[in-house]
This record gives sequence, C-alpha cells and structure tokens, in this order.
Amino acid sequence: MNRNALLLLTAILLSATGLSAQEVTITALTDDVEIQVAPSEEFTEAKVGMKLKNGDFISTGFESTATLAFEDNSNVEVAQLTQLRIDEFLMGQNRAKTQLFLRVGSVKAKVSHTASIRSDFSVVTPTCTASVRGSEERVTFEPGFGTTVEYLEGLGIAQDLKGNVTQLRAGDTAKVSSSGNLSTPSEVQRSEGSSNLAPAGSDSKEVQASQGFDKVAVRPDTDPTNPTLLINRASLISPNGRLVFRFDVNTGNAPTPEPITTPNQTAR
Amino acid sequence: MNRIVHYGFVGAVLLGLTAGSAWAQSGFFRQVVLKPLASQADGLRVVGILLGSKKGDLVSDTRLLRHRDVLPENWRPSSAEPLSKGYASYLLVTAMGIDGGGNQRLFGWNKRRAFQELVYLQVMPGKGGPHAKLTGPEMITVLDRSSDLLRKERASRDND
Repeated sequence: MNRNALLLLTAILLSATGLSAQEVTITALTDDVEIQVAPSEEFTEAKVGMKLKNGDFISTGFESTATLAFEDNSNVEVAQLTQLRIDEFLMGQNRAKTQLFLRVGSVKAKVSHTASIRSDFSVVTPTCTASVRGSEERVTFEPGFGTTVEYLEGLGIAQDLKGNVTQLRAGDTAKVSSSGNLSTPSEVQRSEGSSNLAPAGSDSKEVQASQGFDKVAVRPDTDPTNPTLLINRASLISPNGRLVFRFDVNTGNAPTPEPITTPNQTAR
Repeated sequence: MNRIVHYGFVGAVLLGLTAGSAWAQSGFFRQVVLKPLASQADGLRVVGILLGSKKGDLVSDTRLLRHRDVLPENWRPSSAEPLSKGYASYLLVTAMGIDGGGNQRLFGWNKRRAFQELVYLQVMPGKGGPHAKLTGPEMITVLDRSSDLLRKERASRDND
C-alpha cells in the first residue's frame, strides 16, 4: 500500500470515528529546545506559541524544559534531555485521544477529564505503554535502566511489551526494566524498601511523602582521620537527598582512648 | 551522603550550569541518541557539559578536562574509539568530586572502582561491567542522573 493510499484510509477512518487531528501549543520553555516539524528532517529552535501536530518531534537540551498545552486542557511538561514525538492528538465532540512517543527522558502529564470530554491519553516508550484517564502521571524512560511510571493523581495502567498490565493509583510506581520485565507497585515498594506509612484517609500528597525513601544503603568505609579503621555504615536518604538516618559501626582496631561499649549511632 | 562530594567544587559546577545560554547542545544530544555506541569524544563532551562548557569539540574538551585534572595526562581520547562504562565512570567521578568509599581512599580511583561507585549511586547502568560499551541513549541517561545527583547534594547541603 503506497503512502497516499494509507493517508486516505487514515482520513476515512478518522472521519468515521468523528475525531480530527489537532494542534499542540508550546506555552513555556527554558533554554535549549528544538522542534522537528514533520515531514522535514531539520530541527529548528522552538519558541513559545509554536504549534505542533501529529508526527512532530520536540527535543530538550541540558537544563532545558518545555510545556505543551493540548486543546482538551491537558498539559505536558517535558523535562531536560528528553526527546518526544507527538504520535497522535485527535479530538471529536466528546472525546480526545492522545499518544506520545518518549524516545528518551521524562514527561509529566496532567490529563484533563471532564464530563463533556473523555480523554484517552497514553505515553509509549520502547519498553512500556502508560495510559491514563483524567489524572497526573510522570513517565521516565532511561536507556539502561528502563521505564518508570509514577501516578501522582487518579488512576491508570502500565503495560509492558509482552502484554502484562498493572493498574496504578495515586502514589503508585511501576517499572519496566530494559529487558522488558514489568514490576508492579508492590514489587517496586519491596525492592526499594519503602512502605506506605501514611495513616488511613491521607491524601495523595501525604501518601507520596510517606513513600519513596531510598532503600537502606550499607557500605564499608574508612575513617578519614584513620584510614586503617573500617566502618560499616548504613544510611537512609529521603527522596530530596536529606539524610534521615545513619548508623555507623566501628569494626577495625582503632587506638581509642576509651573502650567502645555500644555502636556509635547517629539519628536525626 | 554529604561526604561524597567536595562542596566547593559542586558549587562551582552548579554555578557553571546556570550561567549563559545553552543553545546548540540539543543538536549534540539528538545525534548521540541515535548512536548504537557512544565514542570517547562523546564522553568528554558530556562531562564538559556537566562542568558548564556549553560548546566544544574533542580538542577543547580534552584541554578543559586536563586543566580540571579530570582526564589523566596519559589518556588519549579518540572520536573513533567506543566509550566503555569504566572510562566514562572515571571521568564522571573525578569531575563531580566524588570521594567514594574505603577502597578509593586507600588506592585512588581507577575505571573499575569508579564504575562500581556510580553503579552504587544508581548513575551508571551496571549491566556488562566496566568494560561494556555505553550506547548513545545510555550516555544521555548517565548525564541526566549525574546532574540529579549534584542537585540532590546541593539540596542536602542547603537543608543542613
């Protein structure tokens, strides 16, 4: 089937479903952002107010971001070092269908869902598809590490390439490894050693704040003032990098003036 | 956590990150992401960007990284040689001023120890070991995670 016939068939199908292709507007950007307008191969500097359509690419550089506004009132924040293609943005009278392809990087999508417009929004990465209806999600694809799907509000699903599906709610994170293995939110929590400590009835931000502590890190170290002294150190770091807990045990033969009777503990 | 980075150096790096226009980097990332294997020149460019150098080539990046004591004098980076994870790790740990653990303090950095440190810090994908080659897309991920690590260090220092 040649290209013209394919376009004609697509147009017929779209008219049958009552959906038509729409544009996406760049509403904010910082520093180094480029766009590629299909079918051109050339990238040009992006500017606020530019319109993107199906098939267009957006690429952000280091310390550069962009915000995209869709006509169904959905918003997408494109993080630094991200390459994103708008595969599909269609709207009808009461329905919007959006599909973005994330080649590398991270996007945070706030999807609008009203009684009048039903939004079907998905972000596709090389290892995963994340779909939402009326919620907020962050999808990150990092080659070598895989895809991370975080739901900040509402409900959605994550699906790997083998067809395995997991449902997510606010505060949940699912991961798909580079080899394509899907980890459900409970598996992610177990592997990261985090637990939901928020009391019943907590809102999503409180639940999120109670989760996500990095797993306890244990490593051997030396005392800078005495390189022959080995210390076993365990530490717990919060998501914002703050030290929550540290536990040091001296195991070397350090010449100390006083005998050590208990492990040296530091907690904050 | 605070011990892993020299604060003064991080401050200088972050100051460099925020200064000046960043235009023209995006083109470099667009090309790198398509490469099945990143080159040593790509590795130097990425570390140069992390240090605040917005534009550069193999010659200028080599000069910059030698001047900052990041690139050893006897290393001869090439745009034809693929970039190993150990090579990239060594450049990154020295550029970020990471102190590392006991082995590093006793014996100093080498490619293997630098690689192990960055895998521990979840900056470098561990698959394949220090001799495995970095792909172009992985190179971008490593830069992203390195800048996140520096940002968290700054936040932690500000909180203290």
